[in-house]
Amino acid sequence: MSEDRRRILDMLAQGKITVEEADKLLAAISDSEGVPESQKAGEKKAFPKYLRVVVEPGPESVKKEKVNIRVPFQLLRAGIKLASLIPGDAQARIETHLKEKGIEMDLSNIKSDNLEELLIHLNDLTVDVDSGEEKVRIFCE
Amino acid sequence: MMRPPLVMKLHIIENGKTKIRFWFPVFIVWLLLLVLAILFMPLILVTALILWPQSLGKRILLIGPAFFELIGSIRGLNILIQSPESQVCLYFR
Repeated sequence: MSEDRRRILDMLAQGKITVEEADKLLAAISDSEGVPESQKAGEKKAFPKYLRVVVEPGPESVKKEKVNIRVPFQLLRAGIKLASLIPGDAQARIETHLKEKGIEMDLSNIKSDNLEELLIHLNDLTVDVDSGEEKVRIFCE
Repeated sequence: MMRPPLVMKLHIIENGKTKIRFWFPVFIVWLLLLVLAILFMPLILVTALILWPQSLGKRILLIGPAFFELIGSIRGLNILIQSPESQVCLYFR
């Protein structure tokens, strides 16, 4: 319990304020406490360090295999940096092969600046896929 | 600061018994790669100079540091695959 709350309740117990006044004061305190300290100070959100991929067998699964992968984001960043150094014609060839596999991706558009932006938004993201046979969870930590 | 992984551990368990417990000091590989990079540096520089007009020279020079950044970022990579009979665990520390 915060000091302010205790003081309000003490004042109520001593009869210095009415129940309605105490209620209003407590509501005002809850509003200000509702904002996390980090947001009050205008701090930036911390980048997630790892991308986690967890695959668990569902109730209809036959294989009963579990997969748990933890990839450092630094590795993804470094991979993108390395990929940006691939010559243009080789990138086009990779994109063609990816398209054949059903993955449409423009490698030239992936830049490390975009990744930083993506990472900020990924922090709160959780992907849950439940197909009955498998449960896939992708999240950041 | 980037800290490249020093060891790679591979652990395979089958039917409750350890089949493979492999511990590999990967820093030896990094040291070998560093020595190779230093040895081949003159050749890389000459190739980069020759290919500079085709805009490949800069890429060749940047690939080395980007590759070292990649291997330096592997620390913390964990892969765990479990099935009722077996378990495979690979991690870099």
